[in-house]
Amino acid sequence: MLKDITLGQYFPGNSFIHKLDAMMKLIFSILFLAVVFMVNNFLGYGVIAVFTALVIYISKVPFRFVLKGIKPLWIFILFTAALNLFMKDGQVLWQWGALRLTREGIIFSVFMIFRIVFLIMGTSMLTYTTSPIELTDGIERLLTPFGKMGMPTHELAMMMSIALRFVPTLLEETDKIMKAQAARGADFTSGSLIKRAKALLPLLVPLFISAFRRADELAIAMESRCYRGGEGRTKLNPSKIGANDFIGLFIVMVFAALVVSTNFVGWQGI
Amino acid sequence: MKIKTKDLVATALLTSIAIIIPLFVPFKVTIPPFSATLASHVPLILAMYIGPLSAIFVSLGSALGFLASLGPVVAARAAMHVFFVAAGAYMIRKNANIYLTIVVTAILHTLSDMLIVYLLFAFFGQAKILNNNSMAYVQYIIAVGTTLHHLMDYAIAALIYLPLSKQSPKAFPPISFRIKNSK
Repeated sequence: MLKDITLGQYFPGNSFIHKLDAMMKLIFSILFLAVVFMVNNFLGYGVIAVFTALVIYISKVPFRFVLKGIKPLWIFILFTAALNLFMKDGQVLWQWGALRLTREGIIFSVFMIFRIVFLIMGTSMLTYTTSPIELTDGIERLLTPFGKMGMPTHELAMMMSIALRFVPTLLEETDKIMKAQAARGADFTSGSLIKRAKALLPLLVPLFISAFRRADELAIAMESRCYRGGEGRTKLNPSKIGANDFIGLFIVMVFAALVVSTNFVGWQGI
Repeated sequence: MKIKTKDLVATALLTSIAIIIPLFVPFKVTIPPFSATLASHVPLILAMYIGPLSAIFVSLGSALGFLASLGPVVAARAAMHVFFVAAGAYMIRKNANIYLTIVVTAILHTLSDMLIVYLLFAFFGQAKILNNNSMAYVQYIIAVGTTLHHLMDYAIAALIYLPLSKQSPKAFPPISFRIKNSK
């Protein structure tokens, strides 16, 4: 199951989305997330769905690959939806004791499913279309104002990009350890609280040990290539904001305005 | 502010683990609005031994992981961990007693969790999510749950710390859990 998690992976390409400046893509992603949280009706989600489908189509990232990223999280999505299903007052459709299924509860649950799916899709599209190096550069440039206040922006950006880069690697490692421990009879899913906590140790100890071994090796590799942090560091190919980025910004602004305007239509609000 | 390359990479990898723990740990206790993912604080506690900046960075990374897996309310609670990890890292740097560090961080952790849940429900008007329970009841569940979760995760972190201190004694110097020997 863990191999299905595509969060943090990069899908190389030469599309319009791939060519956009990383800092601008970060801003677009933040705007997209804000819009997903602001929407309060199904029409708004319809606009978001069309926009997301267009972005996936233009980026040439296979749709199957994007869906693969959501697959492992279906349990959590359905759990959240089920939790919300019985917690909304309104027109009762079915009742069993204290458990009441309402029309509003169903609408709200479907809403939550859409919200989580679009959140995952939106954040995934950023990492699918931006290489770790570009992403580091983008984060660093976005944090520039904080750098003037003494914050180590380059180091923070570097940490973020290494962290995102190692998500798939560590997931793969976790999968291997889980299978190895399961083959030795480990059971992670049953037993009391203490028993389950104990069962996690044979998984967590090797995971942390291997992560720190990797950290040692990576630090030595970086230092042997003369990595000395951000101070005095120059770039061979400095990123520039071009015409395409302004076109992208215009499209995202129009999209955001369109989605927000649907909040005032009053078609199916919650 | 200068960060050593080794600390930088170790922080990044702890952040990766903090992001993936909510995705793979099968054991989650959920009593709405309280939820606990076992071992989710372990990377944060270990990052406290690297330094305050590392600890804060890892706690924000874990918030990102929770945003992807359990939604914004849990992510907001995870983001509030910056307070207890910063205090914990400072106490570790000052060689404070390990048990005092555990107690202080547990109190800060519990208070910050209670505060953020109160603020979220107060400002966003999601009182119906409390499912006919009073705010006092919800705060009680969060206080007890968070304290137990914190202590349990600290115990797991201590068990992971021991082999780590053998592998990287510079980053994780051996510590004694005996009361009379600890500083």
